[in-house]
Amino acid sequence: MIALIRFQIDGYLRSMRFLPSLITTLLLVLLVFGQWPSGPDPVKLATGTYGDAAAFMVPLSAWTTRSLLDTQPTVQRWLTMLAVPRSAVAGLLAALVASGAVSLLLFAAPLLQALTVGVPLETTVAAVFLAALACVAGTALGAWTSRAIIPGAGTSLLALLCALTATLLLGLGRLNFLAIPYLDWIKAAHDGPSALRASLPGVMLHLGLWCAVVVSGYLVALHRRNIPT
Amino acid sequence: MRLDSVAFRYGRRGPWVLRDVSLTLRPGDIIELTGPNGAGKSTLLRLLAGLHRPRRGAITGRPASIGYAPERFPTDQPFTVHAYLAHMSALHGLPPSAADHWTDLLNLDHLLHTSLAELSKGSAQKVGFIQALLPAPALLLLDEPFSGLDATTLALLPELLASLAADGATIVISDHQRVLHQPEALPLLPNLRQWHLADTTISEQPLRAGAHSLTVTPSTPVSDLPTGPTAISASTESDTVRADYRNPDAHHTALADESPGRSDLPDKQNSTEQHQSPAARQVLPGHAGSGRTDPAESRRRSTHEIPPEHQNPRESSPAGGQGPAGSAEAPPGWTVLEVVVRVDEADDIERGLRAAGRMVRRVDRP
Repeated sequence: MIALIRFQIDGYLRSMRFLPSLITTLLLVLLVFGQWPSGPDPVKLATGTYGDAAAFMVPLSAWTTRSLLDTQPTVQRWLTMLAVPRSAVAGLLAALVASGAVSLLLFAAPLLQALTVGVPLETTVAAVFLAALACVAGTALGAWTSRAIIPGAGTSLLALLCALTATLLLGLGRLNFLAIPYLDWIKAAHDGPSALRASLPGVMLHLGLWCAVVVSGYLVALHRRNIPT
Repeated sequence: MRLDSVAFRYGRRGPWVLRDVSLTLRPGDIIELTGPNGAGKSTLLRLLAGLHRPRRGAITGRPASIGYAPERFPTDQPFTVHAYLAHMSALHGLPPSAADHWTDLLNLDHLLHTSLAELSKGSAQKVGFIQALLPAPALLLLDEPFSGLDATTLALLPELLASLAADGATIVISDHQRVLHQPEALPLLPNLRQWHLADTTISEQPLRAGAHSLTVTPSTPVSDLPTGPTAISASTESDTVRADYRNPDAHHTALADESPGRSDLPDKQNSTEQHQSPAARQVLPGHAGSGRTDPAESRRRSTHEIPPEHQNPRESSPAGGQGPAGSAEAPPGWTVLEVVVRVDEADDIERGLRAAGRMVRRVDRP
């Protein structure tokens, strides 16, 4: 499985398909997180950027995952499936590594700011867990829109955009248990370190369950397909 | 490995590609899968590999180690040949050097640092073939593996497949080029079986001669001759030349064999004749050989016995550069194609053409 993860990441890097994610991340860092927190309560502002960064990680990870999983042509994916029985899991792990690298780059600026202005360490640790789960959620969402599930490139891109929008908008209504709780954690983070820490167990439980269901569904969907694409 | 009442179609409402297919594959079998385009040969190979799942029925006893060479190797990958094969070796838990033996054998060493995207069709096929061989598969599935390969490689493959089968591998090959029917190949493949796929069903068909032979003399009525015969072997007996025939569908070719026989027969090995009509079929110039067959038509075979005086020496002579110098005439139904090749590749090309039953005349030899 490790060999397959290396194979997929090597192909992703050699194909230069990582560039769109990388450029977008760098732009976000420069434009959104480039401003140093100042004003009367820089700690609160810095904590708020944790929540913003975690929210941005979802679409970025989804895009990165879709790009990575689609790097292998369909026939090569067949050959891979024959060589490695758990190739779907290996693909997810490879995508998680790539998404993790992009997320780390994105998270570096808020982390540096928070440590500089004195955000409590417990808050930072909690934010790291939140970011990790946001990265997993984005990876799961991206996997659902990869070629293995949706063969058409245009259709899968549209599906990704719709899914990202849906996971945001569902949080506004009664079906918020189906949403990724962006709004909850962004609000909590902007309310300050203590609010973030207080709300985090519920948010992370929700996010963890969401990820478990979506990842399991992806693996089951791949397994049950009569004809891999 | 068994297929029990397997049925498959693409999509819930698509037409059935396979229906009620029940087959058994044994270790050591080499199975040639034939059938018209679109009959479902590639689909069956993917079903055997486990890449597609039957809609009905079951496939049991599939080995853990499977090698699959796709019809079109996916070259749109950002790797060199070496990097790709190293990765594929790693997937099978093998060291990066695991493919070295195969790249050397298949003469791919000089392309190891070439990008996959820049490979020719034949070289890409070799890479696909090598990656299928890497895990020492117990089930080897080859989808048109000989397409685009050079004559040297083609000549190697039957022996290689025979060796793998002797080690217990089950091999299933979809092959339009009938490489396994070369006169040199058939004796190496005692376990060769033939499955014919048509109209959503598979029938196993015998390969060897003998079941339906017909003795033909110059007085045999034309209507009694099998249609579109192909000679697959020949022998000489007393004053006659005997050639075994098998029915082809499209390749009406009688090919020369190198059966030992009368010394007065001019080079039996390389004489070829295309039989476009029953009348033409009666002219069989002291030769036989391996030919192309299509079991869809039938298994009819015949034995032609033709006195040597009925043979056309010119049609059977130009072997090994020993034919009439400067001759550029061809028997009826054939044409002369002049090809200029490099000196270092001439022998290989000549050997390949002869193996395919073509007449060859070398101008660089007396």
